[in-house]
Amino acid sequence: MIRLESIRKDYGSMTAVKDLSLEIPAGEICVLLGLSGCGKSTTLRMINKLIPPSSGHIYINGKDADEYPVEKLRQSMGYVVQSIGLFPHFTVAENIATVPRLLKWDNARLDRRIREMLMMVGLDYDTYSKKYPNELSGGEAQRVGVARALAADPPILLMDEPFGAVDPLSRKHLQNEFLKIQRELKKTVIFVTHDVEEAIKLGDKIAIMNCGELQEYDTPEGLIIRCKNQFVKDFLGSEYAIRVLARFSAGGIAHERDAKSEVCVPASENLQVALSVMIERGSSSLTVTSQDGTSVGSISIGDIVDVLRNTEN
Amino acid sequence: MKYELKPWLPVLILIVLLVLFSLFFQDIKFKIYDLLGISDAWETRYSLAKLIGQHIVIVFYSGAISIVIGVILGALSLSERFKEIRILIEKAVYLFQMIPSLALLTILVPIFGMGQKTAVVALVVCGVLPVYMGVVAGVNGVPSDVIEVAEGLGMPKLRIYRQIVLPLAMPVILAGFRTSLIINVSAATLAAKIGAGGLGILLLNALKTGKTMTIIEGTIPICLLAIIFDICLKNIENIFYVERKSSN
Repeated sequence: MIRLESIRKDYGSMTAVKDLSLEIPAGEICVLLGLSGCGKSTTLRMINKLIPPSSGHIYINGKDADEYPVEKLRQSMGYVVQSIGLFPHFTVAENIATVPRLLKWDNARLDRRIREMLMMVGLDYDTYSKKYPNELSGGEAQRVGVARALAADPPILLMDEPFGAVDPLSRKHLQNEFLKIQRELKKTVIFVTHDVEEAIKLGDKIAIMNCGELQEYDTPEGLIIRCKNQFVKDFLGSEYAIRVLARFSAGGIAHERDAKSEVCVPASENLQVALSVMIERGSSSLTVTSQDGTSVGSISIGDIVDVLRNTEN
Repeated sequence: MKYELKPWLPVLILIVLLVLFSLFFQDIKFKIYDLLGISDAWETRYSLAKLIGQHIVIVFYSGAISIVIGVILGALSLSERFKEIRILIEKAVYLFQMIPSLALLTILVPIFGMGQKTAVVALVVCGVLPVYMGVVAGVNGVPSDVIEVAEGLGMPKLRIYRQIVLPLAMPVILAGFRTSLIINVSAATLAAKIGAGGLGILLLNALKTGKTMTIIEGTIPICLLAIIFDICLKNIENIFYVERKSSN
């Protein structure tokens, strides 16, 4: 668990982060969302001490971060940045081995781990392990970046717009794969982005910042129901509620009443797609089908409208 | 990784050429003089091999010292502690570079006397700037995000320098060494002016006697030396690039 307590960072007369307090529960993804220059990256870098805070405290697992030796602290936090920063003179395997080497793992364990990590991020060991970063595409490079960050199995993962520089299609792939990995590994993740859609998709909780100040910190659904903050509303946009539907699967809210509608949607599809299908086919209800095509229930337009309030209460 | 010896072939050829030149050129020269009936009374017989040897020795010492001083100054001006005097170091290095070598020799002779030592000092003053610039440009050229990530992953400072900064800066640093040495190979001709020997003797002689052949005799070995040094260092530079490119 990470707890920030009235963190502040001044650069001369400019204040980058203003009295920020935040608690990030273990095993969750916390997204820091905001415009460029709102202090979200600064906040992230204060957590792994790349930037010293002007005042305030950061607690990691209940212990003040200043009590940890700085290198040990960083080794226990994976770090992924937008520019990736792979070491250009290291092979993919050597890049991944960076932190385990610092921890003096033996070669057999290291090699096993490199294979494991490459498999996890979906890269073939024989093809990629001996390649150099300049031979990789942007998406491949960022996979290696994630593998490098996770190689020593750190409990915390800091990500600074990690998928910002790859094309939209690869970004979607990377996000999906990252979610899959996260479901398995349950890291405490702090994820910086300016992309609302990415925040909705990945965040268990979203912290919205503006001009160095925390505006709102809530679940993506909670931001709709409880948020009174005008800046946040403007920032998220008026179609935000529809975007949040992407977090729910059709199977998750299907009622087991007899499905009368002829329009079908797979249970794994999200509600955004379901709503889109309703509009497209002019139907106010859908039959939800499992993978083999059998009906598992139905959803109506009313179910979708109520979904946020039902899950939040 | 198998190291390719092929890039060193031109060096070998050039060295053979240089040796042949120093062994046989004088004989050829005198034959030509005989043929054309030119008197060689004013012609002193030099051992070309000895002059080349002197030249190499001067370049070697001045080059080695330039590199040591340039690297130290570069490291100083890059270090956190001496940040304030960085501009001072930089200006000093540039200023020394601006003094014409000939003027420098004249200034140094009263201090250090005639001979090889003075020549080496003068050449070091000329040779430091490229080395210094190579070190500074090389280290500053390492992408800052790479260093930031290395720090963020918990690499200790010293290790970052050894494993990340230095290898990445190496090609540029070596390019600085190369420039410095090549400048010194040609500037070393001036050493003859203060009795330090070297191939410059031939050029100075030719100035007095106006003999084209003597100019050729001095210039060709100097050029060959410069090219040899250049290729050698370029090959060493390439080792650092090759490592990064080989994928299989």
